[in-house]
Amino acid sequence: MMNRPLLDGYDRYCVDASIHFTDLGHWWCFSVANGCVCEIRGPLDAPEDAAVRFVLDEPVFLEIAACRLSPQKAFFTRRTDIQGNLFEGLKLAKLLSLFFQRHPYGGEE
Amino acid sequence: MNADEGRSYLGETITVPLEDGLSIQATIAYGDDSDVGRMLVVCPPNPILGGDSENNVVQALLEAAVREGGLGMTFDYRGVAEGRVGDTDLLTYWEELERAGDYDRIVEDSMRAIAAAQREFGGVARPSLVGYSFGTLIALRCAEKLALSTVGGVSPPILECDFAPLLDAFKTVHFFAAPEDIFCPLAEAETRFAHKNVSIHTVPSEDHFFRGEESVLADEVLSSLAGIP
Repeated sequence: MMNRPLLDGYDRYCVDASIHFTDLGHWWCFSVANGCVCEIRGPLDAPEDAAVRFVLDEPVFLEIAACRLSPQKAFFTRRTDIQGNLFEGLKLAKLLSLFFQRHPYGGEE
Repeated sequence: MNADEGRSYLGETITVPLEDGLSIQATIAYGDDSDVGRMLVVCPPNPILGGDSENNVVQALLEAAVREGGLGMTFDYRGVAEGRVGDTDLLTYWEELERAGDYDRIVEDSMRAIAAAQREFGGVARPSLVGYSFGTLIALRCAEKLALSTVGGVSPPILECDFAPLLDAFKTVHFFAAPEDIFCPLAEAETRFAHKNVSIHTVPSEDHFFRGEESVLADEVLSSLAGIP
């Protein structure tokens, strides 16, 4: 995922985001610059400033990353929440879902 | 017939051909005793923000339409099912549409989907239209083309889209929103649409997404749109 374009033609996209794993009690933060994930930091004991903050349990995250659950469905069923900039959060969730469709965690590369 | 578990309706998915070899999928929801003369068309929210036909509000409206004895119908906008439109990634394509403010092709696609769904049931289904969020824009434009007198919009993004020029085509426009909807602030909506043919319905829910309150919203929409067109 690192330094790989999340989506073709999306090379101007930049955002700072965090994931709060509520079951584990820690945070991971990542930065997207020019359409690529350029930095991942964690696990952290406290959140950093981020425009978008996803809140979920680790098993839900793994389901999403493996493309067995869409971020949208997880959100609508309250298995995830989005804090901070909601507009950016929904957009980033869609971007990540497209990425995971093409590169599912645990799937063949 | 699809076999989606957890759905309270029977469903049929049809493929709607578009130009340039593209196609979209439409879903028609019905029950054992549905009156095929009535069809609620639900236009989904913006694909940039993850909007599709599986959205919780869209599905709640389909279920309510069937529960009320008619047909429900929705569809995915171009590129949603495939994640791309031709050679262009979905988000890139839709952001270009957004930058240009030109949704003519999307309206045309939607009209094709509605016509295809009508044909599927012998062409007798009278459509009524409602959109959710961005889908309100598409619902209004399609409803105008269909010469409907009434149309509905759930949480129309009034800060992003100028709906005013579209309102005159209708006798009544029903907008539905939650008190704390950041995309459709109620006070702003009441100010913008005062003295216009807009009926604003406040739906008790915490925000734009109606999570856990979908059926309350859907019942309000169905009761407000009853009897249209």
